[in-house]
Amino acid sequence: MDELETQLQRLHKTSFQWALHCTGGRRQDAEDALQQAYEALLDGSATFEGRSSFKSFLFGVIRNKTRSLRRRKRLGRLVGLDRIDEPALNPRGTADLERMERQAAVRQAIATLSPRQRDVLELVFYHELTVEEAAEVMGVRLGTARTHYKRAKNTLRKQLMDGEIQWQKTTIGS
Amino acid sequence: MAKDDDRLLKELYNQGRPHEEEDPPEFSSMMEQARTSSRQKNADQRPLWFAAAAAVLLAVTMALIVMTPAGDKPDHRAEIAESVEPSPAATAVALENGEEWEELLEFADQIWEEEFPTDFLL
Repeated sequence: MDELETQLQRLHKTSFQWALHCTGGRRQDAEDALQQAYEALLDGSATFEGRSSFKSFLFGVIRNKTRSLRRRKRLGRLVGLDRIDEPALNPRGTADLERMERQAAVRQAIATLSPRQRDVLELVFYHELTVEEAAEVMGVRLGTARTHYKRAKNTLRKQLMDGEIQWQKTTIGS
Repeated sequence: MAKDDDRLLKELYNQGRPHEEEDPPEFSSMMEQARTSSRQKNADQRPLWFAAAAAVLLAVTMALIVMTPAGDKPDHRAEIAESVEPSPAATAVALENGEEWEELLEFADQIWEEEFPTDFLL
């Protein structure tokens, strides 16, 4: 296995999570996008030139593949980055119920964000990229990414404070 | 304080992010499929390269045919080379024999016209 494949394997799980995010949670589309990204890397149509971290480069390729896939399938309205899937809730007790209520509230707050604001939060909060790397993945300037990041945080904070979630650390425990 | 806020926000986001973590498809099977597709793509492109190479070869051949003067004209190139570029010794002998420069130039013009006829230049 060469170095490229080793790096891809190392990032496989997180790459798939990013593909899922980009496809609005559609597993099949996420798999297709990831598959096409791997093919592009193997046949040389996408080449890592070391201008950024490999992770942000790979995420950028996946994002582009997701977009072209969406264009090709004309699924803009169906797949849409605007759509937030609601996962099934299966509470097993009071604690679970509280946690799920909190999750639902957070999801509701996230749903009010613009697609780019969601992208930047997903990349920075979940995938732990820097804002600069997130800008590379999203194909926007650093200043733009910073603005999206800041507005996303402010909106999310406001939504959560206005809602049921108390803005205290004690609410975090799960 | 702002960092604490960010950390709190991050934890809340990660708890409530829209898409639950899902197990990805098996890496090895995805890579195998990617390799197969990549090979197939290269194979599909090969006939195009062959066609392009054949077209270039054909074009060059046609150009050579068109540019070659018609008829079985004898090849004077070696003769011309000797005549147009006489050795210094031959030139000296010619001058000593009293040949005129005009005659030499006329001879050169004659050879030039023979080798490069007007219709060819046009």
